[in-house]
Amino acid sequence: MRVSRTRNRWMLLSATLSVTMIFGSSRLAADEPAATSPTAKLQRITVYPDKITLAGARSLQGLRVTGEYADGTLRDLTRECKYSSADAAIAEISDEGVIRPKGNGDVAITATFQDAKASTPLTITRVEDMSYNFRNDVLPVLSRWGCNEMGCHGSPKGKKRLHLSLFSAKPHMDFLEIADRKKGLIDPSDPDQSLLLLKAIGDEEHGGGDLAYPDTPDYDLVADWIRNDAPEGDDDDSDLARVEVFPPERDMLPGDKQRLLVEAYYSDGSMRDVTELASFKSNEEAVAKVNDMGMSEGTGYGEAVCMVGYGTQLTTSRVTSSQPATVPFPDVPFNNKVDEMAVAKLRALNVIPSASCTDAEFLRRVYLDVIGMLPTAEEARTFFADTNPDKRKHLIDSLLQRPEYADFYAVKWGDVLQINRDNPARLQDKGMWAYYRWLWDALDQNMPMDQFVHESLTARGSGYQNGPANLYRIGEGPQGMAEHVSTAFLGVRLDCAHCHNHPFEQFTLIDNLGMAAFFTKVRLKRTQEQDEEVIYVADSGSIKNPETNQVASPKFLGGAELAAKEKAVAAIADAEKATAEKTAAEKAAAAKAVVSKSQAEKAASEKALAENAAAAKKAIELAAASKAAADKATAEVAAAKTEAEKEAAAKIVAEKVAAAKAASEQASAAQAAADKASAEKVAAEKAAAEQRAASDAAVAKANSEKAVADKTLAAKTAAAKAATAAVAAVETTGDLRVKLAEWIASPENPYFAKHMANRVWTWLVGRGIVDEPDDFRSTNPASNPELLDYLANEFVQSGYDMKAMFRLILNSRTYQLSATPNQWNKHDRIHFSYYHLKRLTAEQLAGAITQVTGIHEKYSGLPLGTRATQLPDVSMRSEFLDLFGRPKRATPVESERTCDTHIGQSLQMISSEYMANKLRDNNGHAAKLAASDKPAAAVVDELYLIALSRFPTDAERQVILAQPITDIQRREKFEDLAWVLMNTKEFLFNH
Amino acid sequence: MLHIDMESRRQHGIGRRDFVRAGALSTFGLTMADLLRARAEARPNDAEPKAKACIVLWMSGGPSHLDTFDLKPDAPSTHRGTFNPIETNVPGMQICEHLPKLAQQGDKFSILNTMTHPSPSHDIASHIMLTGNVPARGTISPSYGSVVFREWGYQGSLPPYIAVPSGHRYAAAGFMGGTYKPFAIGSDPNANGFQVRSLRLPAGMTVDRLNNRRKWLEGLDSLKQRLDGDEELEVLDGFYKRSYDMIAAPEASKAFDLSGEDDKLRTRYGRNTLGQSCLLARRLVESGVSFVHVDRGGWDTHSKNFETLQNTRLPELDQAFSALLEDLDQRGMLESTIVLWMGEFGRTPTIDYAPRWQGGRHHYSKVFSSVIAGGGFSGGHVVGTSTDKGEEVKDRPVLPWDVGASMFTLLGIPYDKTYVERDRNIRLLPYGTSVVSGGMLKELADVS
Repeated sequence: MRVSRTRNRWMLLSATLSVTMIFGSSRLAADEPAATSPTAKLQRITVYPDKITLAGARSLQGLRVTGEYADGTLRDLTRECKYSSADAAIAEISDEGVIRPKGNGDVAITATFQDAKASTPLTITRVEDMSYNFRNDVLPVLSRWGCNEMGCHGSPKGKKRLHLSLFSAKPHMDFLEIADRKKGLIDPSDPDQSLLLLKAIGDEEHGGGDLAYPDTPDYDLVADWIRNDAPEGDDDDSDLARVEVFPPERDMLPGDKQRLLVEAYYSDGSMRDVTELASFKSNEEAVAKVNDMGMSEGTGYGEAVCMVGYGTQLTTSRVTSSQPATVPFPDVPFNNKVDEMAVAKLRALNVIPSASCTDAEFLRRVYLDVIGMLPTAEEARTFFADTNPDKRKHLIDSLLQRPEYADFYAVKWGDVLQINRDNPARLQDKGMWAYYRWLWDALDQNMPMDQFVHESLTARGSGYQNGPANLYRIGEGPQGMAEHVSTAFLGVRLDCAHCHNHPFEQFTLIDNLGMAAFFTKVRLKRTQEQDEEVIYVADSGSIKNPETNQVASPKFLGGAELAAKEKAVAAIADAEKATAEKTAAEKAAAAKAVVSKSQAEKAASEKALAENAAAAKKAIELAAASKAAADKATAEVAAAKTEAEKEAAAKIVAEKVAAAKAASEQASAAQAAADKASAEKVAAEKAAAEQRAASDAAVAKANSEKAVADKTLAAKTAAAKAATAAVAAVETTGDLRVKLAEWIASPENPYFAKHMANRVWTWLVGRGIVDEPDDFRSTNPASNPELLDYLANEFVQSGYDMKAMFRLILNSRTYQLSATPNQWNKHDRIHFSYYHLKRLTAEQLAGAITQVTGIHEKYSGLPLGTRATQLPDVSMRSEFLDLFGRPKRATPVESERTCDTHIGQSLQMISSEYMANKLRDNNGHAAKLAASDKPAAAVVDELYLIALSRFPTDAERQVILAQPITDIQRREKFEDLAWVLMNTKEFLFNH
Repeated sequence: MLHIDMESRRQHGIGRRDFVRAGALSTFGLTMADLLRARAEARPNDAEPKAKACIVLWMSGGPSHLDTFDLKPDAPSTHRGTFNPIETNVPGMQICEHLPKLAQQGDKFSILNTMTHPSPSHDIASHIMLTGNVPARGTISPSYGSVVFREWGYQGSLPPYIAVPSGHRYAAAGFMGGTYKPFAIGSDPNANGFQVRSLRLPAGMTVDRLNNRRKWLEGLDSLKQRLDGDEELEVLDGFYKRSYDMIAAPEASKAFDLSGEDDKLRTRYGRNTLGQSCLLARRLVESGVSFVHVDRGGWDTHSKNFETLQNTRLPELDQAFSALLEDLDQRGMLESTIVLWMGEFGRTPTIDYAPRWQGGRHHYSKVFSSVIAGGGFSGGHVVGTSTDKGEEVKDRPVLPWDVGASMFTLLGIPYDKTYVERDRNIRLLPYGTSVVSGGMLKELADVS
């Protein structure tokens, strides 16, 4: 009964759970024998935790013993060990490895398995402390039983005699409800006869079924609390801060078992083992399942995540199960670090990636993914003919420079930002155009994304004038704005937390309202122009938590409250100032060193110059003397009378000429040396000057940085003071959106960079590392966290450069993998071992059909020739685009755009007038090609290039040209062939 | 014809599912012989479900309950709005004065005035109302129509689930996949010369030429061969096969041909998109379609609520809805066809007179109204009462899954059925688990 009850509860809670991790059909059959003991030799055993502190009589601690084997495998031996306590008067330990305190003091606990032993030190304090805290002790049990769910006593009206707050939102109220003696729910004189417990175990009729059993830890805890007069505990008692699970990750094979250990940490730093009170859920039961008691068991290959919940906190434990290696993992080449990270994961799972795609596949893929269009036949021919080994890289670079990039990504961002003139966004023509043009320019100029966010979030003025101000015309009220912004810029959906907390959902009403509080002063005002709205920031505004009736403070999502953060900022600024001063001093010293070095170099070069110049002078003098001698000899020759005299003189002349020549050469060399020395001197002087300038600049920069740091510190301190004071009074002055914008696009933001990198990844690779890209939460973990961290870091380092992120991913071999899976990766859906097929989006497909047929679709109000990817919003009537999944932009969630297939689409492609009219148009490609004198085979090539970006294979040529195409048939046959090519899956999908 | 067919089915005691099983075996164009064979094989004790078809009238945006079916004339002016209630032909049952024709059909429908669910967001609320499930992150539930499609399969060449004129994000198949998605006709039935394009061959195209193209295509569809076994490509192939069959079958395009309808009747439904969509819905059900989703947006009346309702939404709703009920009834189809009128939620009881809204109402899901009729649900009742200002459920809450479970019961589909999606069991509806529930609509139908 208990099992089914739990299952039901999870079903209800499935409202908040993910089913994203899929690694399907490799699951082993249910009757597969459990894994046998490892054959490798046991190296040692370790005990977790390696140090234990227990406080209070009711504290307990379970141990987990892990065997480490020679082959590197780890195995849970908790149930197979023998345990002993060095002093049973201080602590007892059960056969299951659970320690219970008996007296104060220190003691060693030892686990023994075969010959291996391991100990852990234990300290027990306050063993006399029997106190209870309702919020920390009892309420989690009631939550585990499901008492406070919407369907039970947690409904807004409660049920029958018990009214609890939904998911423990109001612990004090819940306490009063249960502990009120007049209600008769509890009976301290005979706890087992308390109505609360009788109902829970089903002894009294109970609509919620049997929830608990006597003699179980959770039942006993509640009974003992009642026996102790059902205290509420102190207000000062610590709060639950977080939960952790051991092991956080583990390699397991089908049949392997691991008992999880759940630890609750409290605000005072204390820790408690709450394994028996926690809830567990595997997100992929085909890989690992986990039972009510936290026992996980491998069931197949792949990766799974066990979600662990206790109270309001969540954590996860990851299970990795590598499929058996049937062949050695091949040596996969890496194009860049993306591949290194992606393949590391594949290697761990023994999933061998597909081959690299062909040039033709790459060409079509990268055109569609970067500019949303097919390459022209001409572009295809050029690319195929290019023999440069870097031609893929060059193509990526050139595509990213094209304006069509901005066209195509303005559609994607338009979806996310919900840009539309009509319902539901109601931006009107002027607002839509202003927003679209701003977006298009931002993309075309590759505006850094931190600036993009800042301009969006802090926008003011008329939505008709200032594009991004329209952001505030979309979400309704502060909560609507917060939800819109969180999804668009942080990839977090807050709409579930709009009304109340959800169990197993990381984000709470507090988070929703905390973000909403940044927008409480945003106002929209009508002007005299029809439907124009001006966005401005009022002096005051607040939002109340409907559950507590308290005014909500601005709180960064997943971060601190604004006030707390400002304090932290001041402290950081102090540290920064010290660092800046140190840096400035260091830089100044370095600069000085540079200056003296350059001066020394200058002196050395001057000395060399002087030496060289002297040598040159000497050589020139020598040369001049030799020349004079030679001239003289020549004159003597002329004067010679006799042949003999002539010969003798000639000989002398020759000798003297040679001497002169040698002297001249020596002089030239000396001159060259002198020139060189002179040039070197100039260069040395220039370098010296530059170095001096650089060092001056460095000193100046260091000084100015210090000045800025000082100024920032002063500003931050002032802001911190102001914010602290103001937040306390809630009526904060100034525009809180600026704070939010600064925080969102800062490296300390836990979501922004990851979310942006992941969005680009999703757009290009077809599936998110976190999937879907706007659903970040702890229960939807990344399939490759290391890869995501790397991308996010690169994004921050690049200065939030979107095109740099595109370039990084597009150049990776991972992006360039073939879409054809192999026998080892065909079950992989989440680790990017092959390229995921993507049906062309509505706009891509409409554009591609135009490219193949040569006939544009006319969109009303826009010039003929406007492509579907150039439509500024989704209000343009188009049955075609609607059929292929164009969204209404009713939500910022990307999956509102669908790329699935349905029968309406196949009908459209087969027999619609839309297709027929374009195919048979007299100005269309088919007509023109038919009228040309190209032979049929050349036309077939041309149509293949246009439609599929490749040449037909011989087999395909044979199918098409099996019957010769007569002149009369040309037009009809070419229309038919164009139809056929556009109906191939190769055309309909990006592959 | 069809009516007789349904009648004879009932007499022979053939179960819908048996009938469907036969339909699923032959790809298309179920012949009378197939049908008879199916009947012969039917188990005699298989209880006949009361409902054989369903029409959902989806009022996207969220219609104001206080200005349609739950008027509060005694509420303060901050709440009550400008419309007055009128009596229907059932004593004591009142609706808005701008729905006079519908008031004359009061005996045919019942009002659910205590609908309630937790989400005032369009997206989540639409999912809840169209599927009967709270959305699970990462898993979208199938709409009611997709479940019926999957359970019953094809009944002939027409798709069993059709959206008129267009679909909705959650009037879709969710985790069941594109196969069970409705066929959205994508064009306005009120347009001149309306026809569902693509069901007939375009001008100048012959069956022979299409067959030649098809043959070529089969020889050249190389990606399919390369990625043999890819699920998505297989599914698309299935759609192509269905499409060729549908184009070849004359009854398909005939079912969509409104020109065959009496002009007076067409006017009675209203010469607008909603009116002609409702008429088409009836025609499709008559032709054997199991489930029709009629989509009409524009109910998100944040601003100018009263003007919008009075000038456009209510008059067209009055005509279309009343005509549909009357027409179904006269043809003897109402007792076997469920009609469910709903939006994703109601609207705030307090009226926002701020300049930006000019008398608007915002999203509100704590209590609102839906209307249900036919297929075993009796008319003339009001289920549940909201508080004096229409702000809360006063008695008898009705949760979306209560409605869903009641409908499925009448359709003969067990609401607690589970489907396996990627190794995970997913229950059809949360009804019957620990979720809050007001129980099935026992007031209106024989359900338990």
